[in-house]
Amino acid sequence: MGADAAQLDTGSFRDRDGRIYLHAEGVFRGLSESALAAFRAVSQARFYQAYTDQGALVATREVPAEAVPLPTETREAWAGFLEHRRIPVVSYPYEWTFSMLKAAALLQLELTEAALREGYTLKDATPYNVQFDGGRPVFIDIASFEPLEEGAPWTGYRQFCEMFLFPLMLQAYKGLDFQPFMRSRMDGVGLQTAARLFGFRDRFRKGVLSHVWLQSKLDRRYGGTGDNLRSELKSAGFNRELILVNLRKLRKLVGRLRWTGEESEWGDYTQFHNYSNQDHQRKETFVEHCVRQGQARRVWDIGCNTGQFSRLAARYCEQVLATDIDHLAVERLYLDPQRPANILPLVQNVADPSPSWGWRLQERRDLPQRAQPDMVLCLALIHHVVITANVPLAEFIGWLAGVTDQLLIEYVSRDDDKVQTLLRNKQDTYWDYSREHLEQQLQRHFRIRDTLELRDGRRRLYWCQRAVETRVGG
Amino acid sequence: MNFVVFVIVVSFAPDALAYLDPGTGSMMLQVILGGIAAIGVALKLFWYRIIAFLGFGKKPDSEDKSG
Repeated sequence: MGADAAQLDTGSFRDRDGRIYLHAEGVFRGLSESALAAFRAVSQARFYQAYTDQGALVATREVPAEAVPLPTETREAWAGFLEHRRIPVVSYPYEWTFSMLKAAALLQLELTEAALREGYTLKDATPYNVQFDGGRPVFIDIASFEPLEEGAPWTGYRQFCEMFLFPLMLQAYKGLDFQPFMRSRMDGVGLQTAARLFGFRDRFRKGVLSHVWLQSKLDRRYGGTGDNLRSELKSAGFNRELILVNLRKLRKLVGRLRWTGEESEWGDYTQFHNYSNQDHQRKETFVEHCVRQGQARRVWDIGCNTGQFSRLAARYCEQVLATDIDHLAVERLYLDPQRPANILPLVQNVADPSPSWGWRLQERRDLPQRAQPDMVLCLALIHHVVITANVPLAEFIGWLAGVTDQLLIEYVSRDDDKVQTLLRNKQDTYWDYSREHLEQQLQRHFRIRDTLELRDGRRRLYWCQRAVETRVGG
Repeated sequence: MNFVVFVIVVSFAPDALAYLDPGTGSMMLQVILGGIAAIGVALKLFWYRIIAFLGFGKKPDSEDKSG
């Protein structure tokens, strides 16, 4: 097998019974003998078929080993192979909004419940097993289903708490953004950490007393006792009905969690931008024109706010990745019932983006390793990157040139009140923040195809195509 | 009812500063979260722990080491 051979996915190593291989043609999963038998059985279950038909379980089929583009010795290491539908852009829970994590949690609970009713269970409960495709959560880790051992507890309960419930409760009850917690610890918000984060008064909030306080107490008291609790539970008559009761209560609890969000700086952008209606219209027409003419398939809208221009772009391309630093703005985009299904909204700070981390720094990968755009929209953002985040303008443009062939960027001049607000209490050391310098840097990497002047010259849009000779990578 | 008993028991239980087994406490909680349906299981499972807590009897060794 040459360059065409499938690559081992660097994040799928935890379960010894399977491994993911990525290939341009598809996503393949090698399975051990027991995992293959479990798949063959569960794929006949009614719930499995129903959720697959709804699109809530990733479309999967068993394929003959010969059809998998892997070296023979790798193929022979597995008893069989599955092929999964490819998720356009893989995203992680620390990039999701509150409602995205909540939707993933509800899907996890619903699937566990449905599986239990037919004698199966899910061996874990991690949001990394859920992805967003077509605007909705999809469960991707088919190998997580296994036959239920009657009398056994729900193995994934603790993980569910740490990876779904505690982060959601922190956001809903304390107004703490959960993303930094999820991004700093692979296993989510640890039980004892949660117990410290929720104070005495929080114990009166739904779910805190039992799932946080009592669980942490029990864990500290009995965690190290060495009791063989699994067999004790079995002989005491533990059964799946008890898990179902817990699951139903959890579904109710999670379903009721609300994050109203405080006043966000950008959540109301559409009411607070400083364009006249006429200029706004001209901006929209220009953006639409560029996206259409550019024939981009995959567009990134960096600094998307509530996604006004993402929606425009979504009409003409396959996939829009809409990112913004503001959790509430992205949440509004996700919750908009009119949001086109080909927009994936993610919380992301361009100056402090998702890193590659975890085992060998490749278990979770940075965004450019997961998605490559043909066109980047960078509207009313540059002043925040250069002035607020202190990134030199030349570096920012250089980074964009390394990411995309086509760029649509808006310059916000120093005469614009938005820039003046940013500079009001700062020492103005931003000699590089000027139209001349921007144009000079753009021309280093790109050919400027078209421009549009707005607000009497206080703003200017540039549509750029990367010059062939500066092409980096592919 | 079993919930109340257990809240009382663990409220006074000293913390075990031992190696942390990630699941034991969480597995116990699942019995409590099973609600009314779990009272019987809870009594069987926690009886000796409650007795031990109240100072009567001795915790038996777990005989079944399977599973």
